[in-house]
Amino acid sequence: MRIDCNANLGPFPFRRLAITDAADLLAEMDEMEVEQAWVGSLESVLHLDPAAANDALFEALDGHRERLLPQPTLNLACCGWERELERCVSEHGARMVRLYPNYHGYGLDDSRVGELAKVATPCQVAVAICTRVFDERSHPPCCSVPPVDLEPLSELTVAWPACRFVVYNALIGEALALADTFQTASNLWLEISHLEGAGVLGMASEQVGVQSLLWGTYTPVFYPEAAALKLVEADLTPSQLAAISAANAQAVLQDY
Amino acid sequence: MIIDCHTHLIAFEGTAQQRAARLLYFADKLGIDVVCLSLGSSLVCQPTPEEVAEANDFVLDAAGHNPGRIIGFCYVSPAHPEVSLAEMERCVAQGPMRGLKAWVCRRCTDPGMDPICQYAAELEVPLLQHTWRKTVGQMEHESRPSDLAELAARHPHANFLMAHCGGQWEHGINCVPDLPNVFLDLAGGDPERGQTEKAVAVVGAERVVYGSDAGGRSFASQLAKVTGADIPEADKRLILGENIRRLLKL
Repeated sequence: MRIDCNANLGPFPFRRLAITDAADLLAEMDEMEVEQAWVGSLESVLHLDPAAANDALFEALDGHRERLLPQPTLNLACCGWERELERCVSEHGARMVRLYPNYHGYGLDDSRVGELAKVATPCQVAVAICTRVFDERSHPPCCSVPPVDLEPLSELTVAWPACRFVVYNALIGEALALADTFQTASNLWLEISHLEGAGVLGMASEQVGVQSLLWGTYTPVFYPEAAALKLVEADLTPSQLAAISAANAQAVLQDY
Repeated sequence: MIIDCHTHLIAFEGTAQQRAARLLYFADKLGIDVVCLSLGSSLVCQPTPEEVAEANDFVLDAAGHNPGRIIGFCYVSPAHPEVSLAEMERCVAQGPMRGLKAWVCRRCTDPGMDPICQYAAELEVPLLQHTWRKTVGQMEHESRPSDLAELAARHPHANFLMAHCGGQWEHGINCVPDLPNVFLDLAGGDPERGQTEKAVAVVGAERVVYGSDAGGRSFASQLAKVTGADIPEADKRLILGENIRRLLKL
């Protein structure tokens, strides 16, 4: 069983993509033997107020919610994000939200991240932090955005031990810089789509901790086969494979 | 047969043989039959003549213990053209290497590349040239894909592999449609969907080759650029092995 923790829908501001609707995503999931996907909104990345993009995401997933779980976007730099969180949870049953801190102009040391952790915890909403949207070296000159500094997660995970955080789209070096935090914090996970290196998931299992790793493809921006082949390339035991492929993802949302 | 046109031993530790064993261990897991190997034990932006030779010795050691699995590419430096020509004589003309590799010591438009390209044409071996166009700023002397296009136009009888499809692959691919002596190496960038389809559409599947940039990159993510691409199976076979086999005369 596989759970894809990093699927996406909606127009991508920087390139036309092959998959834009739920039907195509579901067909691809069937082909890749993916049972469930957590789906974010690509168009929300450049929106000041992501509410309309979130609505488009909810509408796209309507009727497919047993397999496609929405990850609406919050922009903590836009007034009313608390109301948007409440709306996403109460009206649409969201269990997770995504943040794009560097596209929306704040750091993880911003007090609003702590405020989100405070209100997300009783709502049982996990917080996904997108380190990047794509390789900084290929950004358009008018939109050159550095990656998110993940270092404040060491304090955030301690300050808000009941809040669940997931790091998305981080490079292996960025993850290893937080290896101690991943090893010790039981409320922090790492999605694997951007990890690179021969046999990288074996190395990440050792240094970050297999319990922290979530399988994600970053489809349709990335070829989903990349994440699937990483499971083949790495030295992983059957139990480690099961943990990364699905069990850890289930744990993020379980008993929360 | 799957041939990876672009690998290094830099990400591993130990002797050349130990590192080669690790590289091939992961290649085996994904059914990669042959890897083309270049550079030495570490990356040096401005290698001395001695460091160029040491890098080639390292690759010769790795390849010598893995005949049929590792094909060496000779490291050349346009900053030291005479040394490079001697290394080409030692490692290619008199040795087992079947290609050349140039990195970032000079932009590839540098005049120091001219004797290297002339000898490469004579030896009928391709040059794998690093290229990466970056929004965040180039490394000093780092070549852009347009630089390689200029070099390839200057040397129509030599064959070139544009490493990384130029980094910004939409741009890199669009730089070379009319240069039949330039092949696009898919290695080294994130597995962004559309790269391979674009390459095939613009230059044709006969001029696209699979490479990974392993061990710094995953064989997995780079192989997926081909296996996951929306192109005919016959094109995938060309990209995965047939094109580079033809180019290297294997």
